[in-house]
Amino acid sequence: MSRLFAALLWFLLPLTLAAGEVSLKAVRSWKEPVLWIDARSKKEFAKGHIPGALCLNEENWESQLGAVLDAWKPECRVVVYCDSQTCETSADVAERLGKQAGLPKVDVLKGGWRAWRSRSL
Amino acid sequence: MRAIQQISNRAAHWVLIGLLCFLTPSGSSHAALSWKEEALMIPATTFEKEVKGQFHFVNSGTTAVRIRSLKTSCGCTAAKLEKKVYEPGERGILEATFHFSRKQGLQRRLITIVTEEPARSEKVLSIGANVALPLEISPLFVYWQRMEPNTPKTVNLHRVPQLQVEGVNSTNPLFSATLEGQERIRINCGSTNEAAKGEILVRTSYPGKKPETHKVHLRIK
Repeated sequence: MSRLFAALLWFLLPLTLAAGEVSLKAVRSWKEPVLWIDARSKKEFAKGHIPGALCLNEENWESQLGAVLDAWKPECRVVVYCDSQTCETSADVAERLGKQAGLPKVDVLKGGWRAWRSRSL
Repeated sequence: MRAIQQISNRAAHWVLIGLLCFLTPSGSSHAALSWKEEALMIPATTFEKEVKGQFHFVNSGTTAVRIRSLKTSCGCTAAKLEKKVYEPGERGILEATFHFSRKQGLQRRLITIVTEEPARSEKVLSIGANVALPLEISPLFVYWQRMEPNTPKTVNLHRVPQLQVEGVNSTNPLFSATLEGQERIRINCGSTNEAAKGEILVRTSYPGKKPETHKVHLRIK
């Protein structure tokens, strides 16, 4: 019985959204413009990223924050992503953008870059 | 008759065991280290690399205590004692150094002391660092929408005691900034007619050798 429950959790957990997370399907349904923030390394960003995304992470925060604020508009929503479901960098960057920079409406993409690629292929 | 003799033998046996227990002192009352501090949490900033702490103790028992080993939960923590044997009533200090990562927040490591008393015993101490940004500016981004009233805006400063804000400058003459005490900066915008950008540079006294300048980003969108 417990094995059955664990198996059920294993399948259902990827479908649930944590606080501050948003699914790709939901983002695509938004009417507001989206500012994509790629929280992966500069190297990973160079290999491929969501069109229009800006690279911002803990390492380049000081040098890149200005560019992010230039691109941001009051009417847009911000979505941060990193590599995959288990990546925590995007949550850290989203928290800094919300708390330190004071940007409203900052979310994390559930499943990150992998989710984008799998839906785009 | 034989049964009575057996009972009296057993009784004598138990009396002897009881007497031995009474005369043999227990390990805990014989030798023990009593610690003044068991957990230390030391304030630090992201510009520092390590915190140092002292754990004071006394051998409150009646026999000497030998330190068998001193282990830390990671290579980032070092602990040392002046010697290995502490006589009854003798005081000692365990000195610990914790090299923390520069990430903000609470970080904690453990130190395990194993002693050889009549019985082996373990004591676990902890040393931690509460790592803070030397200066938090909230928010570090201020904006006005085009054509909105150019009402002054305020940002709040939260600093560690060793940091002083020396002054503020604007990189764009459209914006001006006034430092109000050490707690806030008032920012004025000349006009919101056109899109514009600038920065307020916040000069500090910290860290001593190479003081940092922080930025508040300004935009008219």
